[in-house]
Amino acid sequence: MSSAQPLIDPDLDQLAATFSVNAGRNPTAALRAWQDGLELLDIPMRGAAHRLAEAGLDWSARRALNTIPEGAALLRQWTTDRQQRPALPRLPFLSERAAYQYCASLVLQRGSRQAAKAFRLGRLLVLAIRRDTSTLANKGRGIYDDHIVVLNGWNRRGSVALFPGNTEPSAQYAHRAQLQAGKPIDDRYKGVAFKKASLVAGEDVDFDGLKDAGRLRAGTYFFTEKPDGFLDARAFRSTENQTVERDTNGDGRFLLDDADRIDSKLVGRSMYIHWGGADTAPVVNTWSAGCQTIPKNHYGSFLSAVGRNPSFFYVLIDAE
Amino acid sequence: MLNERTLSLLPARVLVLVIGAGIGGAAVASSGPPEPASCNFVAFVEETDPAGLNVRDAPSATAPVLGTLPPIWTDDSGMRARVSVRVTAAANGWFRIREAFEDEALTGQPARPVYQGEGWVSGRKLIVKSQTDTGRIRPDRKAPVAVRLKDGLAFDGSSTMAAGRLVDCRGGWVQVEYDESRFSVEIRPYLQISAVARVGQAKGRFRAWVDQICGIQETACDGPSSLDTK
Repeated sequence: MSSAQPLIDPDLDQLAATFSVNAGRNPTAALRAWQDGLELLDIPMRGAAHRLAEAGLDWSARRALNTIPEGAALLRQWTTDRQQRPALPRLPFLSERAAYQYCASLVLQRGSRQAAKAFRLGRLLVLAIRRDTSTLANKGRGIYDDHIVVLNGWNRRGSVALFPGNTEPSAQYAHRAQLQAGKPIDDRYKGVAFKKASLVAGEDVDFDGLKDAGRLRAGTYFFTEKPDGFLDARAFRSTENQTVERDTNGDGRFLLDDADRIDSKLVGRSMYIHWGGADTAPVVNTWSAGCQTIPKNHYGSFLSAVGRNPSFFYVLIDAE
Repeated sequence: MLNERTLSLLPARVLVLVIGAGIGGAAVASSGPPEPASCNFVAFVEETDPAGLNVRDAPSATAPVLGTLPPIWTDDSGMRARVSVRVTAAANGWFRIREAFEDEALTGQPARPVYQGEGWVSGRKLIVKSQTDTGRIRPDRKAPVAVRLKDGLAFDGSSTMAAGRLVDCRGGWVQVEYDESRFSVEIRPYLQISAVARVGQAKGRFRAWVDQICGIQETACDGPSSLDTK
């Protein structure tokens, strides 16, 4: 392992492009230079460099790499990497270039082909990087611990605007949090700041008599402006039906052990992007039963970043 | 929003409607005042008078006042938070409500004094949020369409909510009278209003029955929000 400090403002695009060009000519030398370059990066940015290199690799370079064991191993590693959750850097502390390149690498690897193509053409794109959070966190009021990033490649400037966001539902709307004889229906929901008047969200997908919270499944969606807004502000909605994961066992998480977890039928297009409670409030509340929300106090900047009446690919990624 | 699950509940809804129709028929046959129609949904108080909305003892503007509900709360951002009420009956454009509450999670302020008991308020001061894209001429999924929002848009946006006032209700269905001038310029191209929805209404107004009522102001519902609606 190198003792060198990681670069503060690495140029991942340059590193990846150089590797792609040289790999076709001299894969052994290209791999050596590639490894040297990676030594100067921390783990999340190494992952980003790999993703950018893979996205930029042409057919001849790929063939050349396959002729040597190290090259073939690298190609296999990239294939495996697609199944893993990407390591997340401290995005707000990166340089704008590094942040843009990190986010671009995710779009190019995880976004749909159409989204990646539109992104390469400089179209506006919104990337959401999710950190798994229990619906029970913050007494079920939600946490803004995800990143919502507006990427704009217009005029090749590569601007990036980062916002705190929330991509998961909160237990305050959970059926299980409702009181029965003075206690929550589900003991695990004790202390959740549930809604009065028996207001709940969700659908009972496993037919156990309890509605199950849903979160938007990672993937690519296309959003447009909602013509009549939402909650007295501009908002955005998907042009196609969405797919959600359901927390059917009620543990606050969306995991493989949730029976009938994937629900592509019942949610329609109701998972909007809209504003949530301010993250400066004494009691933060994300106002989300599954919608993607951005704090009120950041929402004006978000709207400025996406511009008037936009349409954009929304790429949602589950990170580590 | 129509989905397979809600469609599967149709027989139960139809049964409720049949019972409701029976009650209405009996009321017409008798000489006394009509029986209130039974309902169950959550509405929001659309009151701008700083004095608040009077809750009365009977469905009449002359009935004794039991208490008041605070007006719309606003802040610098332009967001409006409204008092929520559970509606249990309707009669002559008045609605019997209970369980009124102001959501501190929306205002970030301690809740204002709210009359939480049962009483009657005018439908002219109530609005609803519906996740459906289709209003019907009767409270029945199979009834002809009165209004439809194109492109699958739901009656859950700022202007579609504010454009309607409540007229009647049956179970989880609400009859809404819409004032076209209240729809935003942006949403008007998406409105498809049938001629039958305008029959008997003043110019620029139409009526429709909507279901899929979402009683949570701050977020969309992916199903009916009331546990006991079904």
